[in-house]
Amino acid sequence: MTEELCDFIRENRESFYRLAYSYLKNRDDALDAVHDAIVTAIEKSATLRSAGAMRTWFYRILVNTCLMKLRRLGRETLCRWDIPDATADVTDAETLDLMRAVAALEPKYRTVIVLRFFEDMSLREIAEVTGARLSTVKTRLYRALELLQIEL
Amino acid sequence: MKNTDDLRRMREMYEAQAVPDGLSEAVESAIGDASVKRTRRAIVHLRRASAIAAAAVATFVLLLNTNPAFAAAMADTPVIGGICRVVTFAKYDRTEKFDHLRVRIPEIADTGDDALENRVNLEIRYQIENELKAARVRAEEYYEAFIATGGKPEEFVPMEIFVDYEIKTLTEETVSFVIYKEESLAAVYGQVFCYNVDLDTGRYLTLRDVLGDSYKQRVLDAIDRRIASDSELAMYVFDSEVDIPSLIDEDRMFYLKDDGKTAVVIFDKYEIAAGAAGRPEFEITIDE
Repeated sequence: MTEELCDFIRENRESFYRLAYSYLKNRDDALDAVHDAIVTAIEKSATLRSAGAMRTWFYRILVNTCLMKLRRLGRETLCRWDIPDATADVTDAETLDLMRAVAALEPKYRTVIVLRFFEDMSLREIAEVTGARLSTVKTRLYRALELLQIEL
Repeated sequence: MKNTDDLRRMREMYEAQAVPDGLSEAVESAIGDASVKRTRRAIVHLRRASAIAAAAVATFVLLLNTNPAFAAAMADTPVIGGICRVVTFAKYDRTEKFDHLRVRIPEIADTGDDALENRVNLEIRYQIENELKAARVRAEEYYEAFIATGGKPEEFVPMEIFVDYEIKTLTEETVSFVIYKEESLAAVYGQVFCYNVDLDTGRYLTLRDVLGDSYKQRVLDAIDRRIASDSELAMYVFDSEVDIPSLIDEDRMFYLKDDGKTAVVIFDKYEIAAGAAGRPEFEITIDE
């Protein structure tokens, strides 16, 4: 299982980093969070039930690590989201504004948006990652979309 | 109003974020660190991941109970007599913004009396939960005072909160154990809880139960004997300021040691002596 887990981690490291960055908005803190989440995951790999559950299980650890770091840094209210080195053709002002609006959301709303639309998770998977009930995740998603003024 | 196109563009932007060069290194070093730690680790530290996610951890002691991984924490289970056992119900080591919690909570098991176990175990959890709640409020207040007086957040050292237990006696008839709680803020917040359970009747034992009707005199005699032979303690005891006999009632804290042959009466720090004397204990042999 550990070998499989390490492969999974190596393959998805960029996603992990982006997710961590979406919380911490700082390169070093995001790298730290990815590092800590990996250490925790490997240490606890015995509690992983099946390889199929690996993805949501790992994201859960990562999200928790980021939230814990955020609290420790006391940086919950910081709402800048610089998009470092993003290629010019995808950086239009309107989208950047929307990204900043996502970054300004409370973490519980931001998590749902990032996991659903950027990481392609189903609502059920998001429920597993966040440890919330499916109905709660749905409510948070609608509320987040409302806050961002997005209509699907 | 925005729509799915905006979401798509956001996603493109999200994915276009460059990842730093250090990422691969961070990942490989984490994998390396974890393997080293895994082999080196002697104690299993369990942290319930979702309890950390839920920022409101007020009821975390009870939440902890729902994780099957805690079965692993049951590893250290002293079995004596094969009747009752005192096992670790929850164990965690966790640093938060204001405090660092190192906690080991016991529970009794295998007594053959579910009602008794539930009653005692719930009471333990309730008591520890209350203590931890109060301690964490103090830690936060301390943090606020630290900041208000010009301290920098990054220089703040989280307050240590420590809960552990010691099994003192475990026989077919009796279980006696003590739970200690300490806080680094000040020793005055240290707290002891003694549990002495008669496994036949399911009752908590009192000093009268173990020492008889003359329990008060027997405890006072033991204190006098100690003071006479221990000049250091004699120096610290508040014998003129405190009415010691009035502090010895049936509910006075004590535990049993030597398989229940000795009762040990405990006083809190500062209760009958200066802090330098610690938490004074006085032994009384039961079968005199």
